[in-house]
Amino acid sequence: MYKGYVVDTALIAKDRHFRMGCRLCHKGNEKGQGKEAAHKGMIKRPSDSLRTCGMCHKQIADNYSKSLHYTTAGQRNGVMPRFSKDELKTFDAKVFEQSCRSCHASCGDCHVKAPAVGGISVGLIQKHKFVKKDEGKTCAFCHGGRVYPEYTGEYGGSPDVHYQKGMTCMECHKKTEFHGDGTAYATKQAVKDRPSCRNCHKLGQEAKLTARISHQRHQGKVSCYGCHTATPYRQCQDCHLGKGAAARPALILGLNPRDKKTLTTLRLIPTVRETFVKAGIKMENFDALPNYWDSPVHNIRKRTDRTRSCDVCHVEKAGFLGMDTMIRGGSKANQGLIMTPKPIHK
Amino acid sequence: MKIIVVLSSFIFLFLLSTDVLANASSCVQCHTNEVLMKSLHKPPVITGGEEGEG
Repeated sequence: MYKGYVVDTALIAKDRHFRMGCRLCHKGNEKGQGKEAAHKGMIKRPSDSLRTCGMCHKQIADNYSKSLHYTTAGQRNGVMPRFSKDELKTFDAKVFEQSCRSCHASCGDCHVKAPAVGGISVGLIQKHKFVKKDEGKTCAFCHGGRVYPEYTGEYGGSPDVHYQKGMTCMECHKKTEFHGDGTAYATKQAVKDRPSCRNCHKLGQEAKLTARISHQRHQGKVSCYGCHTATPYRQCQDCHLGKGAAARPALILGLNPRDKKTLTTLRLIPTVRETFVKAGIKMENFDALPNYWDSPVHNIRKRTDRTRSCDVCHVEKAGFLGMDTMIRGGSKANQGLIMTPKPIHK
Repeated sequence: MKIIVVLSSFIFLFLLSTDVLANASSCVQCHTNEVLMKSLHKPPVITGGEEGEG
């Protein structure tokens, strides 16, 4: 891990970021003798303040100040409907800034030093080079509990076909999605120009007639993920409860809670009734939201059990959320996500 | 010759007062030395594994 603090000598001569010296961003005492003296007053993470990078990258910094990766407002907005007005105030004062918002990404987390997870970081991404991207050392760390290992296949099962084709995160998730466009979106679903399968995969151009017919029949009724998610993915349970999390793999199909009409892959989210009890929040409106949310599972294959046979859904109802498979003690809103597929007549 | 000596002294003193030479003998001196970094590094205390969006 010490290698994460080693700077490439060649960069200092070549990279314009170093022209004004380390102290411009990191402060500290350059004339100090020894580690403690030199580090006195040092700022470890100078890009936590957007003003640092904003000295030169003003437009990006201004946009980023409103970006969901920076504000993590999506986390707050996602859970907010469960709170009463007073509970929301307590949440903002005691929980959000101290806990949820620790996930926010500074400029450096993506461009300089790999983010720390659980206090552990591999350090400088490329010896203090200001990299444009290095998903394996950035995205993978913060999103390494669910999305990334599902994408690479490390979670078990097959990897996403896009990963196998050599596509990394930023092939689909463009920099404007992260840097933002200056709009303070409430949720990631609202972000303009977010990735869509149809950006590359156009309907009506399928090589096989059966695929074209199937897409026509299910268009507007089933999301791409509903059929093309290959394997069970991580369902997080009992998180934030002190006694530890239990994650189990499962593929769950149900109605998208955001529109209540599209069948899609659902993921169990960790918020349970006791999640904020230690902060004195009972969540008076807990049942306003379900425990399952639509999840664009990054484990796509062209051929899955559901594309091979209509019976998997229409007869076996494999993976469909039901009263018997639902979590116990969960939100009453979960029942609204149950969808029973219609029988098909052959 | 006298002028050259005076001018060189002036430039040297000027550089000493700026960050240019300072960098050569401080942050950079330690952080470009892998052996030194290894000797100084202390592994962090692990407080928990709850961070990360997941």
